[in-house]
Amino acid sequence: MNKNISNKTVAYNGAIVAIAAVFAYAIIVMLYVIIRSSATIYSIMPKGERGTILLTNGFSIAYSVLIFSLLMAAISSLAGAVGGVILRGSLIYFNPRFIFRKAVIISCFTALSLLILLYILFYALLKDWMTFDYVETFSFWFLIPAIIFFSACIIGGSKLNKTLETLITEHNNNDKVIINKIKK
Amino acid sequence: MWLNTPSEMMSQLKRFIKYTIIFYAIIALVYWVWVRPTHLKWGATTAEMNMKLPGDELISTDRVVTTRAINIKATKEKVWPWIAQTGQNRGGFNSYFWLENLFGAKMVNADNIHPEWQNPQPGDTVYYGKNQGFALVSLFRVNEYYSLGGWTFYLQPFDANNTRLLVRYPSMQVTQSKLMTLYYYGLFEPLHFIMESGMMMGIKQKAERL
Repeated sequence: MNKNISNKTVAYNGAIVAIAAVFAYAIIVMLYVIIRSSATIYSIMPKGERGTILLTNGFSIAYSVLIFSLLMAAISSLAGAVGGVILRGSLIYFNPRFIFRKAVIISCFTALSLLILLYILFYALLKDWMTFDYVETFSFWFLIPAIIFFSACIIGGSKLNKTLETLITEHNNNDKVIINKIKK
Repeated sequence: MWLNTPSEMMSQLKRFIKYTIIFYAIIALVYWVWVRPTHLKWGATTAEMNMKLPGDELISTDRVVTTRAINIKATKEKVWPWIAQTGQNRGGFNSYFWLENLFGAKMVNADNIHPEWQNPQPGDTVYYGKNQGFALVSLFRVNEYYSLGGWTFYLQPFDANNTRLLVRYPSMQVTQSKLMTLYYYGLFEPLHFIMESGMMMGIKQKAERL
Protein backbone atom coordinates (compact mmCIF):
# COMPACT_ATOMS: atom_id res chain seq x y z
CA MET A 1 0.00 0.00 0.00
CA ASN A 2 2.72 2.41 1.01
CA LYS A 3 4.46 1.91 -2.32
CA ASN A 4 1.29 2.81 -4.24
CA ILE A 5 0.60 6.15 -2.56
CA SER A 6 3.90 7.57 -1.45
CA ASN A 7 4.55 10.60 0.71
CA LYS A 8 5.79 12.34 -2.44
CA THR A 9 2.43 11.82 -4.20
CA VAL A 10 0.49 12.96 -1.15
CA ALA A 11 2.73 16.04 -0.76
CA TYR A 12 2.23 16.87 -4.45
CA ASN A 13 -1.55 16.51 -4.18
CA GLY A 14 -1.57 18.56 -0.97
CA ALA A 15 0.34 21.32 -2.74
CA ILE A 16 -2.16 21.25 -5.65
CA VAL A 17 -5.12 21.53 -3.24
CA ALA A 18 -3.41 24.45 -1.43
CA ILE A 19 -2.61 26.32 -4.66
CA ALA A 20 -6.19 25.84 -5.93
CA ALA A 21 -7.54 27.09 -2.59
CA VAL A 22 -5.32 30.20 -2.69
CA PHE A 23 -6.37 30.96 -6.27
CA ALA A 24 -10.05 30.48 -5.43
CA TYR A 25 -9.75 32.82 -2.46
CA ALA A 26 -7.76 35.33 -4.54
CA ILE A 27 -10.54 35.46 -7.13
CA ILE A 28 -13.15 36.04 -4.41
CA VAL A 29 -11.02 38.85 -2.88
CA MET A 30 -10.38 40.33 -6.32
CA LEU A 31 -14.11 40.46 -7.10
CA TYR A 32 -14.98 41.87 -3.67
CA VAL A 33 -12.41 44.70 -3.87
CA ILE A 34 -13.25 45.50 -7.50
CA ILE A 35 -17.01 45.60 -6.84
CA ARG A 36 -16.74 47.64 -3.64
CA SER A 37 -14.28 50.22 -5.00
CA SER A 38 -16.15 50.43 -8.32
CA ALA A 39 -19.36 51.26 -6.44
CA THR A 40 -17.52 54.17 -4.74
CA ILE A 41 -16.05 55.37 -8.04
CA TYR A 42 -19.46 55.13 -9.72
CA SER A 43 -21.03 57.30 -7.04
CA ILE A 44 -18.33 60.01 -7.23
CA MET A 45 -17.21 60.35 -10.83
CA PRO A 46 -19.37 62.05 -13.46
CA LYS A 47 -20.68 59.94 -16.34
CA GLY A 48 -18.09 60.91 -18.95
CA GLU A 49 -15.09 60.31 -16.65
CA ARG A 50 -16.05 56.95 -15.17
CA GLY A 51 -14.95 54.50 -17.86
CA THR A 52 -11.17 54.91 -17.69
CA ILE A 53 -10.94 54.95 -13.91
CA LEU A 54 -13.25 51.95 -13.52
CA LEU A 55 -11.13 49.92 -15.95
CA THR A 56 -7.71 51.04 -14.68
CA ASN A 57 -8.80 50.56 -11.07
CA GLY A 58 -10.25 47.11 -11.79
CA PHE A 59 -7.22 45.85 -13.68
CA SER A 60 -4.79 47.32 -11.13
CA ILE A 61 -6.63 45.47 -8.34
CA ALA A 62 -6.67 42.26 -10.37
CA TYR A 63 -2.96 42.60 -11.18
CA SER A 64 -1.85 43.25 -7.59
CA VAL A 65 -4.06 40.43 -6.28
CA LEU A 66 -2.60 38.04 -8.86
CA ILE A 67 0.99 38.89 -7.84
CA PHE A 68 0.09 38.53 -4.17
CA SER A 69 -1.72 35.24 -4.79
CA LEU A 70 1.25 33.81 -6.72
CA LEU A 71 3.48 34.56 -3.73
CA MET A 72 0.91 33.13 -1.33
CA ALA A 73 0.45 30.05 -3.54
CA ALA A 74 4.19 29.35 -3.34
CA ILE A 75 4.11 29.56 0.47
CA SER A 76 0.78 27.70 0.82
CA SER A 77 1.93 24.86 -1.44
CA LEU A 78 4.52 24.05 1.24
CA ALA A 79 1.83 24.11 3.95
CA GLY A 80 -0.38 21.92 1.71
CA ALA A 81 2.43 19.43 1.09
CA VAL A 82 3.27 19.19 4.81
CA GLY A 83 -0.46 18.97 5.69
CA GLY A 84 -0.92 16.13 3.17
CA VAL A 85 1.97 14.11 4.57
CA ILE A 86 0.75 14.64 8.17
CA LEU A 87 -2.79 13.63 7.15
CA ARG A 88 -1.52 10.47 5.43
CA GLY A 89 0.54 9.50 8.47
CA SER A 90 -2.35 10.22 10.85
CA LEU A 91 -4.86 8.26 8.77
CA ILE A 92 -2.61 5.21 8.49
CA TYR A 93 -1.67 5.30 12.16
CA PHE A 94 -4.98 6.24 13.83
CA ASN A 95 -7.46 4.85 11.30
CA PRO A 96 -6.06 1.55 10.01
CA ARG A 97 -9.53 0.35 8.92
CA PHE A 98 -10.13 3.64 7.08
CA ILE A 99 -13.55 4.41 8.57
CA PHE A 100 -14.98 7.53 6.94
CA ARG A 101 -16.27 9.23 10.11
CA LYS A 102 -12.99 8.68 11.90
CA ALA A 103 -11.10 10.08 8.89
CA VAL A 104 -13.16 13.30 9.06
CA ILE A 105 -12.42 13.67 12.78
CA ILE A 106 -8.68 13.11 12.17
CA SER A 107 -8.75 15.66 9.32
CA CYS A 108 -10.50 18.21 11.57
CA PHE A 109 -7.95 17.69 14.30
CA THR A 110 -5.02 17.97 11.85
CA ALA A 111 -6.51 21.14 10.29
CA LEU A 112 -7.05 22.71 13.71
CA SER A 113 -3.51 21.89 14.87
CA LEU A 114 -1.97 23.30 11.68
CA LEU A 115 -4.17 26.42 11.88
CA ILE A 116 -3.08 27.14 15.44
CA LEU A 117 0.55 26.64 14.39
CA LEU A 118 0.15 28.97 11.38
CA TYR A 119 -1.64 31.56 13.51
CA ILE A 120 1.20 31.58 16.07
CA LEU A 121 3.74 31.87 13.23
CA PHE A 122 1.90 34.79 11.59
CA TYR A 123 1.43 36.51 14.93
CA ALA A 124 5.16 36.20 15.68
CA LEU A 125 5.97 37.72 12.28
CA LEU A 126 3.33 40.44 12.09
CA LYS A 127 2.52 41.31 15.72
CA ASP A 128 0.84 44.74 15.71
CA TRP A 129 0.06 44.57 11.99
CA MET A 130 -2.26 41.70 12.75
CA THR A 131 -5.31 43.60 13.90
CA PHE A 132 -8.78 42.21 14.39
CA ASP A 133 -10.30 45.61 15.12
CA TYR A 134 -12.31 45.53 11.93
CA VAL A 135 -14.64 42.86 10.57
CA GLU A 136 -12.92 43.02 7.16
CA THR A 137 -9.45 42.48 8.63
CA PHE A 138 -10.60 39.57 10.75
CA SER A 139 -12.46 37.96 7.85
CA PHE A 140 -9.71 38.62 5.27
CA TRP A 141 -6.70 37.37 7.22
CA PHE A 142 -8.20 34.78 9.52
CA LEU A 143 -11.82 33.69 9.21
CA ILE A 144 -12.14 33.00 5.46
CA PRO A 145 -8.64 31.47 5.02
CA ALA A 146 -9.34 29.33 8.09
CA ILE A 147 -12.67 28.12 6.64
CA ILE A 148 -10.99 27.36 3.28
CA PHE A 149 -8.06 25.58 4.97
CA PHE A 150 -10.42 23.61 7.20
CA SER A 151 -12.64 22.58 4.27
CA ALA A 152 -9.63 21.66 2.11
CA CYS A 153 -8.23 19.53 4.94
CA ILE A 154 -11.52 17.69 5.52
CA ILE A 155 -12.24 17.12 1.81
CA GLY A 156 -8.59 16.22 1.12
CA GLY A 157 -8.46 13.96 4.19
CA SER A 158 -11.63 12.06 3.30
CA LYS A 159 -10.44 11.65 -0.33
CA LEU A 160 -7.07 10.41 0.88
CA ASN A 161 -8.84 8.01 3.23
CA LYS A 162 -10.92 6.72 0.29
CA THR A 163 -7.76 6.22 -1.80
CA LEU A 164 -5.99 4.40 1.03
CA GLU A 165 -9.06 2.22 1.63
CA THR A 166 -9.29 1.32 -2.09
CA LEU A 167 -5.59 0.54 -2.28
CA ILE A 168 -5.60 -1.67 0.80
CA THR A 169 -8.74 -3.49 -0.41
CA GLU A 170 -7.04 -4.12 -3.78
CA HIS A 171 -3.92 -5.19 -1.94
CA ASN A 172 -5.88 -7.63 0.25
CA ASN A 173 -7.81 -8.99 -2.76
CA ASN A 174 -4.55 -9.58 -4.61
CA ASP A 175 -3.22 -11.39 -1.56
CA LYS A 176 -6.36 -13.57 -1.48
CA VAL A 177 -5.98 -14.36 -5.20
CA ILE A 178 -2.35 -15.34 -4.62
CA ILE A 179 -3.28 -17.43 -1.55
CA ASN A 180 -6.08 -19.14 -3.51
CA LYS A 181 -3.68 -19.87 -6.40
CA ILE A 182 -1.19 -21.37 -3.96
CA LYS A 183 -3.97 -23.43 -2.32
CA LYS A 184 -5.09 -24.77 -5.70
CA MET B 1 -16.43 18.13 -6.71
CA TRP B 2 -16.34 16.33 -3.33
CA LEU B 3 -18.66 13.63 -4.67
CA ASN B 4 -16.11 12.73 -7.36
CA THR B 5 -13.40 10.15 -7.00
CA PRO B 6 -10.04 11.40 -5.65
CA SER B 7 -8.39 11.25 -9.08
CA GLU B 8 -11.29 13.16 -10.71
CA MET B 9 -11.06 15.83 -8.01
CA MET B 10 -7.32 16.23 -8.56
CA SER B 11 -7.79 16.61 -12.33
CA GLN B 12 -10.49 19.25 -11.75
CA LEU B 13 -8.20 21.17 -9.40
CA LYS B 14 -5.33 21.03 -11.91
CA ARG B 15 -7.69 22.29 -14.62
CA PHE B 16 -8.81 25.13 -12.35
CA ILE B 17 -5.16 26.10 -11.66
CA LYS B 18 -4.40 26.02 -15.41
CA TYR B 19 -7.35 28.30 -16.30
CA THR B 20 -6.53 30.66 -13.42
CA ILE B 21 -2.95 31.00 -14.73
CA ILE B 22 -4.29 31.74 -18.24
CA PHE B 23 -6.66 34.33 -16.71
CA TYR B 24 -3.75 35.85 -14.76
CA ALA B 25 -1.62 36.01 -17.92
CA ILE B 26 -4.39 37.95 -19.71
CA ILE B 27 -4.71 40.38 -16.77
CA ALA B 28 -0.92 40.92 -16.68
CA LEU B 29 -0.82 41.56 -20.43
CA VAL B 30 -3.66 44.10 -20.34
CA TYR B 31 -2.10 45.73 -17.29
CA TRP B 32 1.32 46.22 -18.89
CA VAL B 33 0.08 47.17 -22.35
CA TRP B 34 -2.74 49.57 -21.45
CA VAL B 35 -3.46 50.02 -17.76
CA ARG B 36 -0.01 51.00 -16.45
CA PRO B 37 0.71 53.65 -19.11
CA THR B 38 -2.77 55.06 -18.41
CA HIS B 39 -2.64 55.09 -14.61
CA LEU B 40 0.81 56.73 -14.47
CA LYS B 41 -0.84 59.90 -15.84
CA TRP B 42 -4.50 59.32 -14.96
CA GLY B 43 -6.55 62.43 -15.74
CA ALA B 44 -3.50 64.63 -16.45
CA THR B 45 -2.75 66.40 -19.70
CA THR B 46 0.72 66.40 -21.28
CA ALA B 47 1.15 70.02 -20.21
CA GLU B 48 0.29 69.13 -16.61
CA MET B 49 2.73 66.22 -16.64
CA ASN B 50 5.54 68.49 -17.78
CA MET B 51 4.50 71.37 -15.52
CA LYS B 52 6.91 72.33 -12.78
CA LEU B 53 5.31 71.97 -9.35
CA PRO B 54 6.47 73.06 -5.90
CA GLY B 55 8.33 70.14 -4.37
CA ASP B 56 9.84 68.96 -7.66
CA GLU B 57 13.23 70.03 -6.37
CA LEU B 58 12.90 67.30 -3.71
CA ILE B 59 12.60 64.53 -6.31
CA SER B 60 15.79 62.74 -7.34
CA THR B 61 16.27 61.82 -11.00
CA ASP B 62 16.13 58.04 -10.45
CA ARG B 63 12.46 58.03 -9.44
CA VAL B 64 9.41 56.95 -11.45
CA VAL B 65 7.29 60.09 -11.26
CA THR B 66 3.52 59.97 -11.72
CA THR B 67 1.25 62.96 -12.26
CA ARG B 68 -2.50 62.53 -11.86
CA ALA B 69 -5.32 65.05 -12.01
CA ILE B 70 -9.01 65.37 -11.25
CA ASN B 71 -11.66 68.08 -11.69
CA ILE B 72 -13.44 69.21 -8.56
CA LYS B 73 -16.63 71.30 -8.67
CA ALA B 74 -15.59 73.47 -5.74
CA THR B 75 -13.29 76.39 -5.05
CA LYS B 76 -9.75 75.66 -3.92
CA GLU B 77 -10.64 77.04 -0.46
CA LYS B 78 -13.14 74.20 -0.11
CA VAL B 79 -10.67 71.58 -1.30
CA TRP B 80 -7.70 72.69 0.80
CA PRO B 81 -8.99 71.72 4.31
CA TRP B 82 -9.26 68.04 3.29
CA ILE B 83 -5.66 68.06 2.03
CA ALA B 84 -4.37 69.93 5.08
CA GLN B 85 -5.66 67.24 7.46
CA THR B 86 -4.08 64.33 5.56
CA GLY B 87 -2.56 61.50 7.58
CA GLN B 88 -3.46 58.47 9.67
CA ASN B 89 -2.71 60.56 12.76
CA ARG B 90 -5.08 63.26 11.47
CA GLY B 91 -8.13 63.06 9.22
CA GLY B 92 -7.13 59.97 7.23
CA PHE B 93 -6.33 59.79 3.52
CA ASN B 94 -9.91 60.03 2.21
CA SER B 95 -9.28 56.84 0.27
CA TYR B 96 -10.58 53.26 0.66
CA PHE B 97 -10.15 53.02 4.44
CA TRP B 98 -11.51 49.44 4.47
CA LEU B 99 -8.70 48.42 2.13
CA GLU B 100 -6.08 50.28 4.21
CA ASN B 101 -7.39 48.57 7.34
CA LEU B 102 -6.90 45.13 5.77
CA PHE B 103 -3.21 45.86 6.19
CA GLY B 104 -3.51 47.05 9.76
CA ALA B 105 -3.39 50.79 9.03
CA LYS B 106 -6.14 51.52 11.58
CA MET B 107 -7.38 54.31 9.35
CA VAL B 108 -10.35 56.51 10.10
CA ASN B 109 -11.37 59.07 7.48
CA ALA B 110 -12.78 62.24 9.04
CA ASP B 111 -16.14 63.33 7.71
CA ASN B 112 -15.69 66.86 9.01
CA ILE B 113 -13.04 69.55 8.86
CA HIS B 114 -11.02 69.60 12.07
CA PRO B 115 -9.67 73.08 12.92
CA GLU B 116 -6.80 71.59 14.95
CA TRP B 117 -5.38 69.95 11.81
CA GLN B 118 -5.70 72.97 9.55
CA ASN B 119 -2.27 74.45 10.16
CA PRO B 120 0.33 71.92 9.06
CA GLN B 121 3.92 73.00 9.58
CA PRO B 122 7.07 71.94 7.74
CA GLY B 123 8.52 68.99 9.66
CA ASP B 124 5.14 67.72 10.90
CA THR B 125 4.89 63.93 10.84
CA VAL B 126 2.22 62.39 8.65
CA TYR B 127 1.71 58.67 9.26
CA TYR B 128 0.60 56.33 6.47
CA GLY B 129 -0.78 53.85 9.00
CA LYS B 130 -0.66 53.02 12.69
CA ASN B 131 2.96 52.11 13.54
CA GLN B 132 3.76 52.13 9.82
CA GLY B 133 5.73 54.44 7.53
CA PHE B 134 5.57 58.18 7.71
CA ALA B 135 6.56 61.32 5.80
CA LEU B 136 7.33 64.83 6.90
CA VAL B 137 5.52 67.89 5.62
CA SER B 138 8.14 69.52 3.38
CA LEU B 139 6.39 72.62 2.17
CA PHE B 140 2.92 74.05 1.82
CA ARG B 141 1.03 77.18 0.98
CA VAL B 142 -2.54 77.43 2.25
CA ASN B 143 -5.12 76.88 -0.52
CA GLU B 144 -2.35 76.24 -3.06
CA TYR B 145 -0.06 73.29 -2.42
CA TYR B 146 1.05 70.73 0.12
CA SER B 147 4.08 68.50 -0.26
CA LEU B 148 5.32 65.43 1.63
CA GLY B 149 8.87 64.96 0.37
CA GLY B 150 7.90 65.57 -3.25
CA TRP B 151 4.45 63.93 -3.03
CA THR B 152 2.72 67.14 -3.96
CA PHE B 153 -0.94 68.13 -3.97
CA TYR B 154 -1.38 71.18 -6.14
CA LEU B 155 -4.60 73.15 -6.47
CA GLN B 156 -5.20 75.01 -9.71
CA PRO B 157 -8.47 76.95 -10.14
CA PHE B 158 -9.73 76.86 -13.71
CA ASP B 159 -12.78 79.08 -13.20
CA ALA B 160 -14.62 80.75 -10.32
CA ASN B 161 -16.17 77.52 -8.99
CA ASN B 162 -13.96 74.70 -10.25
CA THR B 163 -10.54 73.46 -9.21
CA ARG B 164 -8.09 71.08 -10.74
CA LEU B 165 -6.27 68.90 -8.22
CA LEU B 166 -2.86 67.76 -9.48
CA VAL B 167 -1.02 65.07 -7.57
CA ARG B 168 2.61 64.31 -8.31
CA TYR B 169 4.22 61.28 -6.70
CA PRO B 170 7.87 60.26 -6.82
CA SER B 171 7.80 56.50 -6.42
CA MET B 172 10.56 54.55 -4.77
CA GLN B 173 13.97 54.22 -6.36
CA VAL B 174 13.92 51.45 -8.95
CA THR B 175 17.65 50.75 -9.00
CA GLN B 176 17.44 48.40 -6.01
CA SER B 177 17.53 44.60 -5.81
CA LYS B 178 15.48 42.31 -8.08
CA LEU B 179 13.19 41.47 -5.15
CA MET B 180 12.50 45.16 -4.55
CA THR B 181 11.91 45.68 -8.27
CA LEU B 182 9.36 42.82 -8.22
CA TYR B 183 7.72 44.32 -5.14
CA TYR B 184 7.65 47.77 -6.72
CA TYR B 185 6.24 46.84 -10.16
CA GLY B 186 4.13 43.93 -8.93
CA LEU B 187 2.53 45.35 -5.83
CA PHE B 188 3.49 48.86 -4.80
CA GLU B 189 2.86 50.69 -8.06
CA PRO B 190 -0.66 49.32 -8.82
CA LEU B 191 -1.66 49.52 -5.14
CA HIS B 192 -0.43 53.09 -4.89
CA PHE B 193 -2.48 54.03 -7.93
CA ILE B 194 -5.61 52.43 -6.44
CA MET B 195 -5.15 54.28 -3.14
CA GLU B 196 -4.05 57.62 -4.61
CA SER B 197 -6.88 57.76 -7.15
CA GLY B 198 -9.23 56.75 -4.33
CA MET B 199 -7.83 59.60 -2.26
CA MET B 200 -8.31 62.12 -5.07
CA MET B 201 -11.90 60.99 -5.56
CA GLY B 202 -12.49 61.06 -1.81
CA ILE B 203 -11.26 64.67 -1.63
CA LYS B 204 -13.45 65.54 -4.62
CA GLN B 205 -16.51 63.99 -2.98
CA LYS B 206 -15.98 65.79 0.32
CA ALA B 207 -15.10 69.19 -1.20
CA GLU B 208 -18.12 69.12 -3.50
CA ARG B 209 -20.36 68.28 -0.53
CA LEU B 210 -19.31 71.41 1.42
